[in-house]
Amino acid sequence: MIWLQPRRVTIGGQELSHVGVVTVDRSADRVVVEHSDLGPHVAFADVPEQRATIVLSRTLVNEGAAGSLRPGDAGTLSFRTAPSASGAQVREVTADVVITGVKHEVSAKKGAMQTLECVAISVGGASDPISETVI
Amino acid sequence: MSSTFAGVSLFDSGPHRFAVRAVGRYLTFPFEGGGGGGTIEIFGERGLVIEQTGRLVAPSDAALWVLIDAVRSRAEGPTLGTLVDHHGRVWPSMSMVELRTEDRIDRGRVVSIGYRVLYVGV
Repeated sequence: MIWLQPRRVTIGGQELSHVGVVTVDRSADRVVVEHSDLGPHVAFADVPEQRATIVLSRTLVNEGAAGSLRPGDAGTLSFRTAPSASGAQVREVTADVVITGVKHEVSAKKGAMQTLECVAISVGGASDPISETVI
Repeated sequence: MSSTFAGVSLFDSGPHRFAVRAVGRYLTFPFEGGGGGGTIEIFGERGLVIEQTGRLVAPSDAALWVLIDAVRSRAEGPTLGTLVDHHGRVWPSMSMVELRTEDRIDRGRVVSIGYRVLYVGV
């Protein structure tokens, strides 16, 4: 999932400005694969342990904009997105997250960029950790 | 065809495989197991042991426990029966003596658990 130019991006109440893109990657932490005595092919597969990784990429417009988020910090990520600038069908995406990485990159082409990587947390582990609602 | 033990299909919820463990006779090599002699010593004949590995699969935790308990009752009881694998290979007079499940129940698209079952020839 990719959201471009999301608005009102916050983590734990701390507002993050100039976020250009938010992505969600879903991967398997544990894959169960079984074969049988009946032939060479996989007879059963399941993903009982998985993870949703959220990455935010934003432009830093001054030195103080980098903020104080660091790996291990936990909070609720929230932002709004819409298919157009009209304000119609605005959706709010929320997820409880733990920061796993804070990286910076400076280039003449892009300027100063910050990338925040988070893992989404599901209370209890049963429900999808990322929710999207129309507001 | 499905496998059976004592005429019952206990494991058809998921894939499973059968393997015959080492057969022959027990032996010790020189200087192993406290032996000080210079020759290989041969002891009695090994019993037939068949190892079954696989996965029990169910739509819910409760349904999975029904499957586990059904196998467990055979492993704990003195059930003696014929073991038949997927290809019709028959091992008569086998006793299920052990069910060992993996360290976790896997809850993904379905609820499942890996296992190992041992049968010995009686």
